[in-house]
Amino acid sequence: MKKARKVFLLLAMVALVAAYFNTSESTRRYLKHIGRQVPSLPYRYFI
Amino acid sequence: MADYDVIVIGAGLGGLSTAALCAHSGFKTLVLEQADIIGGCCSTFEMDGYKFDVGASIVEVIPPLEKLFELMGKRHSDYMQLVSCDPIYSFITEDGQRFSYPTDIDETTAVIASIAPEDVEGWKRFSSMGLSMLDSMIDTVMTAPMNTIPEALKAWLKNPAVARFAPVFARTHQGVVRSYYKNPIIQSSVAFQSYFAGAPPELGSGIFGYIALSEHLGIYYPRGGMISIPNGIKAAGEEHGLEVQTGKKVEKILLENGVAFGVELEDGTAITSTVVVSNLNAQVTYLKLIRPENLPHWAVKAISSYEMSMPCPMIYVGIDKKPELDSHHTVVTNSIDAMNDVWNDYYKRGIIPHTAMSLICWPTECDPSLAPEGRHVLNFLCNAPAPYAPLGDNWDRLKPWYKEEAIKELEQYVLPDVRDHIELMEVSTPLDFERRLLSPQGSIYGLFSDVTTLAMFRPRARSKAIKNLYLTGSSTHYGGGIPTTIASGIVTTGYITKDHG
Repeated sequence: MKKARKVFLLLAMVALVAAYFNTSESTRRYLKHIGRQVPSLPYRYFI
Repeated sequence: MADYDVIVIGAGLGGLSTAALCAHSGFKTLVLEQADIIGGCCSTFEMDGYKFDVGASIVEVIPPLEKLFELMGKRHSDYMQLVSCDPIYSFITEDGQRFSYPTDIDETTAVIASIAPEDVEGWKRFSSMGLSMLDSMIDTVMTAPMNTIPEALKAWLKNPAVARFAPVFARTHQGVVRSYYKNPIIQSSVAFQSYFAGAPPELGSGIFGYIALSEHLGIYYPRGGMISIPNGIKAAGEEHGLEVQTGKKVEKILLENGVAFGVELEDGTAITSTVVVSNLNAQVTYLKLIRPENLPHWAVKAISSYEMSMPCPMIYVGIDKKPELDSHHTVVTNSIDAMNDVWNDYYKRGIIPHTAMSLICWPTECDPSLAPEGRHVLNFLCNAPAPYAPLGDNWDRLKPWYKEEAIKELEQYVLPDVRDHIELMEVSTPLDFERRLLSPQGSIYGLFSDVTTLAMFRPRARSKAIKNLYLTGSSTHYGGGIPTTIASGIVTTGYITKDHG
């Protein structure tokens, strides 16, 4: 069961990476931009 | 006993709206403006008989302006004269094609049909969906406090129909445009608006896609120049005892045990108040007027995390010949991909782009009194982003070169012999905007606007880090236009009257 979960997680990660590289360059730039902002959201909520 | 109930730092539209409403609510209110004129970006200066608008060039979506005056028991039309501008925009494409969008939606349908019949259906879907969205949002969400999750939920419960438009905010501007239009020329006519909020179409929120539609509700130019709007708000506030002082730069916000109790001016004068409101950029407010050592660690981290929107230079030209333009606003536009390329290949690398993407405002078309007889004013906004720190150079040195580049663009699009007719020409660079408007990095559109700076993720109008400190203006409200900054004043005053009324 534990092994199946690991395989599933690995497959999900591979699928995400593949989906990322299949998107347009513009979408990748958007995702990178949002990715840089997301860690600040918990702080931004309180300021 | 404090000198004033409320001190407002900055006489931009957010500051003046807050101040006028506070004065109307009975608070003894003082506005301190560091410049010699009021209005911030929405202002007008005079030079050799010509009147030039600093930045903002029209007002659209006027319900927040109407609401502001209604809250004071007044009508805005008694304080300013708004002239309707129709057509709303003329366009010049990369290959020289020219066309205009009238205010009337059906007439615009005919224009689109003549250029791209395949996009008529998309335009109809876009305008139908967009109008119902604007209808449900302008009177409610726009002027409702949304600083916390409970407040956002409250606004939503008051107007549940808004929920169906939520995905628009999460999409990109170009995503919205491309979902309705196939033709690149039509796409380019509705994609540049995200640059008005300081972001390229691939990063700006989908809501900016609807700016193009909101303009069909009417765009207006105030007779006498854009400064007539802040002047009108100031005059209305003064009837309730509002005091506005120009040429007074605030150096710091006075604090005691984490509570704001006044301000200290550049000359060392201290003025005390129960409440301090800052209309300055939120980063300037927290990191310069309060300073990091007086803030909790999380607040410094939060406020430092915001990126600024792009700066863009402004060129002011006085000419002695009528320009070959068709309307108040002419947009020299380009494809969506080119708009994004300008951002990624030039701006992000510190290079000033050599590309056609600009907004030419011709205010003397609506109001000839802005120039000596027979003369015309052109306010030329280089809507293409220009880096604050150009690679290996600086803006003070680049000014003459930039003027020459602007003349070449005017020769190409406005008047072939414009060089022989220029009587006056001034450039305001990102550095000038930083010095005059205290906008960090010259970012006239304020904080970068994307999905991560929406509503509760923008700096709060009622500070959580400093008691009795309130913020107003574009830092606290999504988008940097006139309706949103006025709306921010309404929201901020709501908090002040609730806490201190």
